[in-house]
Amino acid sequence: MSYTDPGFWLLLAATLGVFAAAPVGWRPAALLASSLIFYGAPDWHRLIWLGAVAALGLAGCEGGRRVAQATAMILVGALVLVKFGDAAGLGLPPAPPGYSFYSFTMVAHLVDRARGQAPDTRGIPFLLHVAWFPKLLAGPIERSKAFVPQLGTLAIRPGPAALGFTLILSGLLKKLVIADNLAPVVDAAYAIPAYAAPLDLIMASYFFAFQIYCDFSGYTDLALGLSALVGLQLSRNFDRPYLSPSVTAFWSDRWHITLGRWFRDYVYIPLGGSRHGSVRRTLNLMTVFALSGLWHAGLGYGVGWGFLVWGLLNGAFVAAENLLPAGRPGMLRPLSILLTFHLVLVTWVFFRAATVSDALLILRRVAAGLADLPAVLPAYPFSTAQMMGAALIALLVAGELACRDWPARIVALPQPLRWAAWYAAMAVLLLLGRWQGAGFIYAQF
Amino acid sequence: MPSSDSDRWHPGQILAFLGIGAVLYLALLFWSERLAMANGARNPFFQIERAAQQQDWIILGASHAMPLAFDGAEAQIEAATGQTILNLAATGSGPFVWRLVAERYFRDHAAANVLIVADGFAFRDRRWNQDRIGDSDFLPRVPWDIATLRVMAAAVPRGLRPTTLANYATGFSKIGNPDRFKPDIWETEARFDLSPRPSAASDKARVAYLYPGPPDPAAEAAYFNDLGALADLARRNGARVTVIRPPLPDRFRALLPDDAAFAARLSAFAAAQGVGYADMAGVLPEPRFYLDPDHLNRAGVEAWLNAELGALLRDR
Repeated sequence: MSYTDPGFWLLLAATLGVFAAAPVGWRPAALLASSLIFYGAPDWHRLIWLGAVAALGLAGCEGGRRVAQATAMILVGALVLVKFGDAAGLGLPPAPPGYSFYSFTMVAHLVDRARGQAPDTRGIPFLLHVAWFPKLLAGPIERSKAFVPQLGTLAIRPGPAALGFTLILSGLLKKLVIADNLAPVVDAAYAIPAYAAPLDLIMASYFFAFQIYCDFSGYTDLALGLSALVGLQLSRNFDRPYLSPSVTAFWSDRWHITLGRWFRDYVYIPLGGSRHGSVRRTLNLMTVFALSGLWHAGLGYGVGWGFLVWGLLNGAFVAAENLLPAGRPGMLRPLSILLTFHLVLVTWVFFRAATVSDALLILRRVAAGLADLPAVLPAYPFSTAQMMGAALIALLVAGELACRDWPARIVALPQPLRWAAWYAAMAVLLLLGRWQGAGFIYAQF
Repeated sequence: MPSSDSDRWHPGQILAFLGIGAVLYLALLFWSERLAMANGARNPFFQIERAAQQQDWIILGASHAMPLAFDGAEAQIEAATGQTILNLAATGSGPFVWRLVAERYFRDHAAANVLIVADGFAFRDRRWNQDRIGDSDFLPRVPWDIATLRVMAAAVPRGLRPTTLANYATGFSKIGNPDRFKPDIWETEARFDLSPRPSAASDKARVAYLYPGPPDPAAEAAYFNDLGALADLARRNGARVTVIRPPLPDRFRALLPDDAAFAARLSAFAAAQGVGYADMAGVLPEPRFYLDPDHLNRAGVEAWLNAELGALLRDR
């Protein structure tokens, strides 16, 4: 069920109604029922996948440390199998949307249980932790120790509901207004890169960096906002990533934070982390980034070498930064931010292009076109979509430069200003939102 | 909406928030409706809104009927035949759409004749029928009025998506129309005087677009039912119905799947319904009469008018 589907909003209204009317002890059950309807309505077979992962996880928690670890390995193996089954010609059924994310959630719970760091959760709280619908398709990847204790105090309260409403508006603006208005420009240029003008490729590459950011962080804002409506606080998943002063900080603290921490806690540290010298640390880093790249591959993308190159390039940048002397950027911070953004931008080309050779062609054509840019730029026939996309990006960057957490800032405004901000956001959504656009990019991974 | 600076709910504030929101929404809707009317042109519902109450002919069909209204062609045909004509064809539309347009037209208009320009592809797929109404290049151009709302509501049991009805009723897609400032003109109209060299690749791509899936006998039967209902409606309103197949280049027609069998079914349908029928698919076989793989250019429209079409329109 899509967030742009009227059925979703009806389900949400019904959920909130039932939730508000239910006794406190029954509220998690009401949310679980809604989550199962949300996930199973488009195709009830999805519930079999979800049920299988939950049943495995539950069984794994019952048998002690080694059983939990073994079950986590089985879940990881199953994920690899369904991701690359088609590429290997195994003829397996395709995994449903969100499969990766609830598998990651379950693996984290099992490993944390084995380490004694997760609560002993069963029944509805356990199932809701796996299946809570706002985070089901694309995270954040919640740890049970943060999620489950909140389930005893669920309620619709004015303060969190106002924040939730603001976050929902923020998520819809990012997804429907920014990401989905940038997408056609990107799609047109990247469809046949050999035919696209270099300046169109340059613009499309910049646009894609913001398309994927707004698509993914828009989803996260929606997940956080919908959860806040019922008093649940989910983890922050993005923190102004394109203002990051280094690629290391980009991945550790700013972009898809919960996945980064998942890889850190369950792959990087178990591999030895940075405890065994710089060579081993570099190897561990490259392993983590290669796995991250491979995770994006599969699922109908074939092997997806572009994703692997994307992961390895990011790993190489982080490894290279580790070799640099530590120090505060100081006055060089703006330059660091610009450099970091452009390094990440180059990696996105491999992420978005259909093949590695397409990505290399795009980079070659962009490099060749850069010299002509001053001459071409003033007279270039920019399309309306390109100009609107550039304006939307400029507004987004200006907003992020001005304020780290603008949803909270809006909620703290005096009522007339807060209402004005909400009405303005809704008007922009109505006027510029692409309500018939595509689904969320990360739901397919 | 709730006040964030309190732990208590204030129902009055929530009602005020919703009330102001509703007023602002209505203001946006009013502005969007004005824009849609200012930039309206080819949408059949818009044309009905602007049309004279009585016509000699209304034309229903998909894009192959649209060149009859391109760039002064309609006036030329009216002058040559002495008939008043309202062309209500719409790109990518099938019998479900034509029936809906006719139902709206006959609510407050009259016509002596209905000409249905029928293509085989239009009888195959939802996308040319029930789903076509909700498309972003169609629904936002439909003027808001109660008569159209009733027609659409009555079409829901026949397969129109409830979301399309809700979308029309609320004006949601009209407010969000990204082409709100553009005139409702099909870009093909700008090429009306061209006669490009035929391209096998273009022909193949066009046929693949029009016929995306395998034949579906059940769907075709349902769309023939829509056509029958349309013919009944026209007859009840005193109009004579004629069904034709539009001219197509030979090389293009040869690529159409199941074309001869469809022509036979259409002819049998016309005979069973007692409506006029003419197969004009082969009257203009040469590429010089077409502006792209399958749409008539100005020379094609003139040639057709001087041949079978003129005679048909004059023969009331």
